[in-house]
Amino acid sequence: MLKRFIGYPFMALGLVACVTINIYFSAAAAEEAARTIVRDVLGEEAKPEQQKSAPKEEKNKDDQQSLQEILESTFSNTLGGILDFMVPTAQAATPDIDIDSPAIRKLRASMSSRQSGLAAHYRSGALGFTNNGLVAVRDLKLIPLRERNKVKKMVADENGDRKALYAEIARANGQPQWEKNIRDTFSRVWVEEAPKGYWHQDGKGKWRQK
Amino acid sequence: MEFTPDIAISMGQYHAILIGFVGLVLLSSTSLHTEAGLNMGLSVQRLSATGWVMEDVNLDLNLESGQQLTVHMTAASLRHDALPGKIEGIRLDCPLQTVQRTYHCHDGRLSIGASPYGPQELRVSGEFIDSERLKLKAQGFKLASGRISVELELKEGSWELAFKGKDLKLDALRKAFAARSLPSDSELSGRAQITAQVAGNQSRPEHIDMDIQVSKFSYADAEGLHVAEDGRFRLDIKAKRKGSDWVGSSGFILTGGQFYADPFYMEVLEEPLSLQLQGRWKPAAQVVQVDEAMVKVPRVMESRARIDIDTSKMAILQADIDLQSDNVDSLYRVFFQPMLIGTMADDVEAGGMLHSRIGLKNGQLQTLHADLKDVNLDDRRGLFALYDINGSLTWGREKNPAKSHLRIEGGQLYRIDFGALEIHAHAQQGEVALEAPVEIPLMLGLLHIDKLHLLDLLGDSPRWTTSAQFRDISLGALAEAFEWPPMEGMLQGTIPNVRYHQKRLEMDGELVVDVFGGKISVDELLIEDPLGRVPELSANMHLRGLDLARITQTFSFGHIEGGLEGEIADLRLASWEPIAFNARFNTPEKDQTPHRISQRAVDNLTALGNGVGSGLSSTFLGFFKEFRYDRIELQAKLNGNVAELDGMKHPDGGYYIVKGSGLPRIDVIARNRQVAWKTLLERLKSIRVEGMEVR
Repeated sequence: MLKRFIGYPFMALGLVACVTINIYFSAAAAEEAARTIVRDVLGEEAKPEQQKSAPKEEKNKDDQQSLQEILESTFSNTLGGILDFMVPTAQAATPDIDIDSPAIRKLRASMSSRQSGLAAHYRSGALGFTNNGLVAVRDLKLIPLRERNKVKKMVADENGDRKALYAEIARANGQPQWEKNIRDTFSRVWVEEAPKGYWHQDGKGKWRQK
Repeated sequence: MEFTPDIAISMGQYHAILIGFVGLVLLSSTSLHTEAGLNMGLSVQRLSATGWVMEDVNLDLNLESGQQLTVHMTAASLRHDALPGKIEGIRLDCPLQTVQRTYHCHDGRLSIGASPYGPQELRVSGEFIDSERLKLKAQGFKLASGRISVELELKEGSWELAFKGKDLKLDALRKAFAARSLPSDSELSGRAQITAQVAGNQSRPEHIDMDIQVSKFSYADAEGLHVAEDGRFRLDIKAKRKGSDWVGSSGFILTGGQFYADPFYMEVLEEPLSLQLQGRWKPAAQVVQVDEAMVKVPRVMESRARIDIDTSKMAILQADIDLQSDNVDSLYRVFFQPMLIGTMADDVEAGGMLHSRIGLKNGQLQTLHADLKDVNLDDRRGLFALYDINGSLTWGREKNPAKSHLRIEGGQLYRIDFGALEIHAHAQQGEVALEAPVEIPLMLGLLHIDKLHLLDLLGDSPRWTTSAQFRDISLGALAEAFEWPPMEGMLQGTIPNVRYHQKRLEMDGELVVDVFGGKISVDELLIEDPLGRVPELSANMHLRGLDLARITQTFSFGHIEGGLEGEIADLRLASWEPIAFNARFNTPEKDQTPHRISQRAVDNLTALGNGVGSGLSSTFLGFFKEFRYDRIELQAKLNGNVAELDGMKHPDGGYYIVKGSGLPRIDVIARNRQVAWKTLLERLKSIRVEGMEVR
């Protein structure tokens, strides 16, 4: 028992020496950034502000995963309390997501100018939003024959811009590893902001109409 | 009673009703040679031969007067292997006349109560001499909302069948024959006019001549990947048997409609699209040998080809194709662009003429030769352009190198114009290399490409390497192309080995540029996705021995004399805009050149450091146009949107940008260490320079 008692401070000091402060992906900031861009791209097509689906508490939990949580799951509450005192909680402030780089502005402009050409095909159901933040041809038959390659090119260009946008937002914020999180956030926001009647894929890839 | 006649004619492929009719006439022929009135009845419960069976057959023969004989035949059902279902309620009434031992039926009637094609009322006629010589004709067969007539003539072992189908609905035809070659969930409509003549010996057809005209043709598969709308076409086939093979020709003319076969789309309006084939079918070897195929796509291209096809796999065994296009733009839009969607070549405006010869073997490209005449390729996004390309391109899969020669009168890469160049290269399997260096006139100077080597073009990892020098490149032209501030001077330099692989352009060694009396070297240059949406460049730059007098003269910044050195470390550009760098510019240690700075340059440097000018002109120092200085130093570190500025340490805080010397002494001391990158750019823009606009 004594051995354990003496051991805790050393363990704690060891932990102090190993603490790494990580910047965790801020889902709320990313969502705000995504919503700004999506509304800008969809323009008048974007639906008005609506209640966000996920409960706020849950979001906050996602936003900041602190070292404290990890420690609490490992050690007893008592030890956790001691460590709270000795090791400041290693959590990052919730950073804003920067969406103001030249490349992002260029991509947004490119997507906005393309939207007028895509909108009619979203509404007809020929195109839809995929569950990985891209656009896909949902029903080729709904596109007149002579327009098909033009639409397919628009889809390819749109997807090229979207992929570049997700990567560029992650890069512009100095966190290239966030690309997937950003893409996931956008994937959800595209659907949330899409007007009624637009088609989108659910988590299993099945097409649903809003 | 069951009676199975030994019938020599086996016509399983032809119409079962006619077979029944022929069979019954044959059956009854032996008992008709009588002059007296006669009523004869014959009932057969089951009548069959190979491939067919008829049940409850009743035959009544009435010889009324003279040569007038009437045949009445009924049968409960007829089944035939070639029919999708049985025929029921068969009744044949045929008045027969005998002329010179030939029996004629001019106005017979055949009615069928039920069949896979619905109930039928047919007019039939025929002539019968003996079992080897007869003619039969049936008209009015209703099928697929249209009408069909059939004529059959047997003559001493040979036979001829003529078929005419009028206004046949394709969707109904498909149902009637349960066509399995089309997906069951596809949609088909249209009307067809069909004429066919088939001749043969015994059971073997020997000659076929068929003509099919289709109008209002529409087809769509479930996914919409193969679609035709309002199509009009004509197909003719002529073939005859030679030994075990068939030889013949076929023509296909498309006169209207829209067609989509993913990803290709074509609309035929005024001029028809035509295809002519001539060749041989070898059923035993499962090979179709097309000796000559001619394709004409109006205003797009014409092609002649010789092709061998393996019919068991529907694969090309061998092909020699000759393709001529006087309209490369149409050729690109119809055939190439759809395949290139999503690549950097999917938005090109093309022009000129092309003559190409293509060799294929076992489905693989073996040889390619293309003669280009006045070909233009102009990317609509402005990434590249090549004008007036003339010459020939040759490539072969074999090891022998094939030589190519191209002359290009000019072009553009990004916004940089270049002049005429000639390329001599050879291609060898998956590699292309220059035979001789290429010189490209560029910005009043010259780019000299020593080597260009394309590797693994047929493999999974295509890449290229190059090295070059440039001479006398005009800085003014470069600045104009990139909309930079006006500059003067010439660039000389060497581009060491550059590699491009998997969208990454990397340079080995240093790119050295002789400029402003010194050298600027670039190393660790990497450009990711250079032709993509967000090209990313990273590099380090080192400035050595630069003459500030020449620089400031070029930039009209205000006159400064002295040496300059520095570096831009960890430079990163995204979409060609700086996103990070760590830069330092300073006067070299022990610099022996005179150090002078003009009033305007002081003012501009002050504005750069502090955001406002020095206002020297409004003080007594305004009398002095130039000042001496000891050292200039400016450091700038950009990370994201914020730039950190620094210079020489100043004891009272802030930092020197210019440390003066002598009298009157001018020091430029900046206080702000952090500035938004946008603000710094604004400061650069607002620098007062006569006759110069900084963008």
